[in-house]
Amino acid sequence: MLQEVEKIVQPQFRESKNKAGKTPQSLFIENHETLRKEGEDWMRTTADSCSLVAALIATVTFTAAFTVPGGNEDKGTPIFQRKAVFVIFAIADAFSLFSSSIAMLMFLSILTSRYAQEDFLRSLPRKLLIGLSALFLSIAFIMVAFALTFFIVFKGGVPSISIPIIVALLAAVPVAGFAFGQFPLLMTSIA
Amino acid sequence: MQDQALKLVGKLWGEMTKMNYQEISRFFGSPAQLLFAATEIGNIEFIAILIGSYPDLIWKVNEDGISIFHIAISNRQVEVFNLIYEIGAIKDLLATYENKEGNNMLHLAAAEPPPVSLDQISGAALQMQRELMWYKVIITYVNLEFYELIERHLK
Repeated sequence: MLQEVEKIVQPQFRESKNKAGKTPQSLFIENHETLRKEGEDWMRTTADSCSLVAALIATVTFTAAFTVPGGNEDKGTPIFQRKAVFVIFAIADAFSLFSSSIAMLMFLSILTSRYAQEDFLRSLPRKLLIGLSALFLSIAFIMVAFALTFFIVFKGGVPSISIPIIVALLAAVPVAGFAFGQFPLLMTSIA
Repeated sequence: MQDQALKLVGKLWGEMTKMNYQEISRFFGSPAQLLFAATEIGNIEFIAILIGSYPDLIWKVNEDGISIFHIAISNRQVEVFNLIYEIGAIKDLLATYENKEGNNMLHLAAAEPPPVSLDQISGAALQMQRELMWYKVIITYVNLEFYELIERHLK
């Protein structure tokens, strides 16, 4: 019943014209064209710089997989491959590469999307959300990997214990900085 | 400080509601400026006090022929909109009001937003998202009101 009524009634309200002869829909498109354009520019610049950062991280983590801390033996296997810390380093490095690739793809798909008004409702903010989260994760993992190399290569003696710890603490600073800097943006794209 | 001010409003309003309908109408003036100004800036506490004890006020229209509902819509005052919605008085007729240019609720939601309404949102893209969401909310609301109206008539 309601569907039947819907067919009759809904168009009347949604397509009712004001005195200038405009429907709400056409009025919306007209009035939001500037905002849409601004939104497009904003999205492009954000995606541009973020994809650059993601690409840099991907490059670094890719290289790190082959030039591992401590170097390789003659046959190519890493010297420290039996150390637990080294395994965690390898995993963190791989995760960083994966999530920076995800971020890169997301930002690329933002750059190549068509920026219709409807896209700003769900698809673009969702891509931005995934991209920023992935980028954050990759930065966090690259810091973990970096700090772990110090635990791998320093051994014995007093400074060897303190140096890795200091490095680990310092590595947490940029991660926290990124989190605080981008968190508000992240929250608004979730809401 | 604000609590005290609200208490004062409550007390004064309590006294005023003892007057009869004509007197109250005269106080508000034919455009009920007080109410409309509060709606524009989104002073929900004030509106809650006034409408809570005197629900008839939601029927007031301004010089442009639109209700506080409409004003909340065109000023993107989400909280005021929700508040009036929750009061649950008969609102279906309000949805049919149009202003002098023939704009209904949807037209108002489609109009250009007041600049302050987007200030808290960073990034033009997310501002655009907010505008689209608002428009969808009003579409849903408008349809809902119509269904209820029709359902009631079909019974």
